[in-house]
Amino acid sequence: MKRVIFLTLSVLAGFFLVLALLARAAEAQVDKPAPNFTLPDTNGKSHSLSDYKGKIVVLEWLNHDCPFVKKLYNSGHMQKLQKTYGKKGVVWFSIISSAPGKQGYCTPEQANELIKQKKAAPAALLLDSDGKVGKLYGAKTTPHMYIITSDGVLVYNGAIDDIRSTNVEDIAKAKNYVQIGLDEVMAGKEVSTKTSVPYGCSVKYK
Amino acid sequence: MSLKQNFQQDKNGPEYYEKSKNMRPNPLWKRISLFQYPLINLALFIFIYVFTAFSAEPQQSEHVKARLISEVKSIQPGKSFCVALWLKMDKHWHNYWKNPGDSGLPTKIEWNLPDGFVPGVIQWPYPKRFEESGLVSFGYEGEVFIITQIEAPKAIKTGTNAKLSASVDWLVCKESCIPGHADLVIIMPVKNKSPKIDERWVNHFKKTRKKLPKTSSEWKIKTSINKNQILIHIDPPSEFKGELKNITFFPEQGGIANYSGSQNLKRSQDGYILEVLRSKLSTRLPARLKGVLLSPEGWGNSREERALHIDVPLMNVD
Repeated sequence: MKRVIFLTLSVLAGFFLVLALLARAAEAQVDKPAPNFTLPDTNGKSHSLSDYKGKIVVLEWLNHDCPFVKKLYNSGHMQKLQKTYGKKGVVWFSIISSAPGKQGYCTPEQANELIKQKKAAPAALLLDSDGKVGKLYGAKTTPHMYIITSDGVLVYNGAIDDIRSTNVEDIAKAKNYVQIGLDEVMAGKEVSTKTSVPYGCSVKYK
Repeated sequence: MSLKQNFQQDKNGPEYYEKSKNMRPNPLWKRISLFQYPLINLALFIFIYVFTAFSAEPQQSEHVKARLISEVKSIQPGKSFCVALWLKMDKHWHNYWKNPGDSGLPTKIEWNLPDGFVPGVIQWPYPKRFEESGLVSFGYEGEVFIITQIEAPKAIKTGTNAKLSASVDWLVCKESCIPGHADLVIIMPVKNKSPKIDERWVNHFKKTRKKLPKTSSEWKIKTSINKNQILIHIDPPSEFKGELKNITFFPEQGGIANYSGSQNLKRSQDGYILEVLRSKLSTRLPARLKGVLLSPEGWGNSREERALHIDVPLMNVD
């Protein structure tokens, strides 16, 4: 009997150890393969990161009521980035991880309305209301930006730019890490700034 | 105490003005000298009555009252004095420390002072840790008094007034966040004598100074870093008789520590080691580690001095 309990316990312990290791390995880290995810967009279509092998992918954490996000959308800056790089073949995903009832949460219809209103141009707006993908990537703020190469490697994790503020006038003065990173990736160069401290509102997880 | 009441009491000392979208208007009636005309008087009275009755309601969109407060009632040429930015927030709303943590924005003060006046660095009281859904930020709830020392030049005329202005930006949050701005002014008389303390704010200044991190102490602090952790070695001076418990490290620099990770205090040969989880974003490390160590039991033999400022070389032991 004792042996059975011991065996069961060690199998369980082993199981959890493997699980813990897997969880660790799956977490997003620069210069490592970007963890795969599958999320529905605002039209109910499901997107997996693995479907976009061969394309450069940008992930943008989004909450339209956050003043840091407003700075970028009211000035048209974020839409411009989405359009410019969209034309160059970059797949731009905006992701909302706000939980139902929290700031920034949208039903698919509301999200579509917002895209129209803001004239946003992501490849798709993905809905992550249980926050699983947000947590997988360690998304802390809105905005929080990621760049994934066509080989599926995460090469940027951090802020949109280097001036922490909600002031529109700062956009022109700031160094935009995503723009620089994307240009470098497309030129086949090493990304010069791979991480920075993201700034913004906290992601409104459940 | 309302801002209006303070304004009335300030006849002999500095005068305060606030101009901001989010605050009550300046007391209009003080600036209007038409009271000798009864009809206009009546019309004005009704207008102002209605106006203030509406505007007396705090604007729900903002949640913050801002004001500049001088510790002393006058300025003496060539001497330094302290001015505080007072931010009073609605219940449960908070603003941010110099390192806001995972989200947020530190309060920014831009001084606009007369020629020759030199503002010192912002004296940040130690912050409080806020955690929500696994994300951590550092800041202040309720109210905060942020002191700046200002040096007055020798060459200012006594008998004149000096106008000190500050353009202040903050972010205030309670789940959601709202940026705020105020242009604040104090007008202070310049007198050729030791200034009198403004009694009304003595306790605020005293309480706040207790929260300013000590910059020198007998404690020996060393830090090192390995793959996953920052290790802060804390060795007590021989005269310390207490025991450290519940030490919290607030890093001043962003991107070094993982704020939601637990911090573990362990005994070492000569004292203690605080283990702080590293951030995944810390690919490039600074040469020095700066921040505040908080001990609820105090760093001396009393509970008075709870915060210790550290600025020490960061050694990579990997």
